[in-house]
Amino acid sequence: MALLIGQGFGPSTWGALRSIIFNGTLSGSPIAEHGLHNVAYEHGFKTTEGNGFVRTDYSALYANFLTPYYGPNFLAQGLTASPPQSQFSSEYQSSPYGMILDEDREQLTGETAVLTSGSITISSSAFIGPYYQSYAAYSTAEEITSIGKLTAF
Amino acid sequence: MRFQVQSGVVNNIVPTMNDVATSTQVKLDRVTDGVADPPTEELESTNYNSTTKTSYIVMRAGPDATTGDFPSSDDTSNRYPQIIGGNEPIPVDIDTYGFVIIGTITVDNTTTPTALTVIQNVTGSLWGDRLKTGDDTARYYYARI
Repeated sequence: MALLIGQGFGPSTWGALRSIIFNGTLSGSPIAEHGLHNVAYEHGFKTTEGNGFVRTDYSALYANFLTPYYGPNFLAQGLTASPPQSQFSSEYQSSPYGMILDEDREQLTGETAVLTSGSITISSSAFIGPYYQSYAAYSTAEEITSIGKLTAF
Repeated sequence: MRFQVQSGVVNNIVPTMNDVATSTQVKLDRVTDGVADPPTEELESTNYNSTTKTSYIVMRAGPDATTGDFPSSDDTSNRYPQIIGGNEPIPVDIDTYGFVIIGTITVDNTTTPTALTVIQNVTGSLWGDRLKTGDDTARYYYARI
């Protein structure tokens, strides 16, 4: 079904086909302010240059504002403290194929994710559920600081 | 030198412009006695860059302070879409409102212009979005309809 740009609640320009990457490790709404054609994000990931948005076929900006990380996202969570084991993932949410486009997955694979418990190199398994990418580290308050050129805000 | 702007809309809202005759903000689609009567604005010699002799005509718009809608539909607010002439340099965007250039006017002489060049960057209506991430200044994006 086609997506109509220009008429509706959310962005009406190219933003209707873009999304921030949501930070699944943070609780609370990622939205600080919203209205017709206006969205301000409280937290997520953005590039240090440019606007930080990525292309998406799923849950474009206009549909994201009420549901945290209901779109492209990354999540790091501890599984077991001993042995230390955690999981790094980009969850599927409503999509059967994942929320980050294939070409963006290719660019993000191999990038370094800086976490509270240390750093990992993102593998392709981070985008494949239900097991995603596991790594041998653990923090009770695991958060993602940066992912390659993306910085948490 | 005086100028007018052809009426259009941004997100279905008609902008206003100062009418030099009354010094009031008037919507671009004003009709008087059944005839189009858009406001007329005036450029002073100080409204041009002294070197390039160019003046920017911009539209200013910001989100409604209460509803968050962009742009504000309250025509008494400074966030309501407003055409502003005589800008030099181009104003800088802030969270309260942003600017888009709709045209430039370049003259041969800023005091007593006898020849001018008009460039229209916007020739129709617009859709606009305001997007903000974290503490960064809001960004304003426009698409021609």
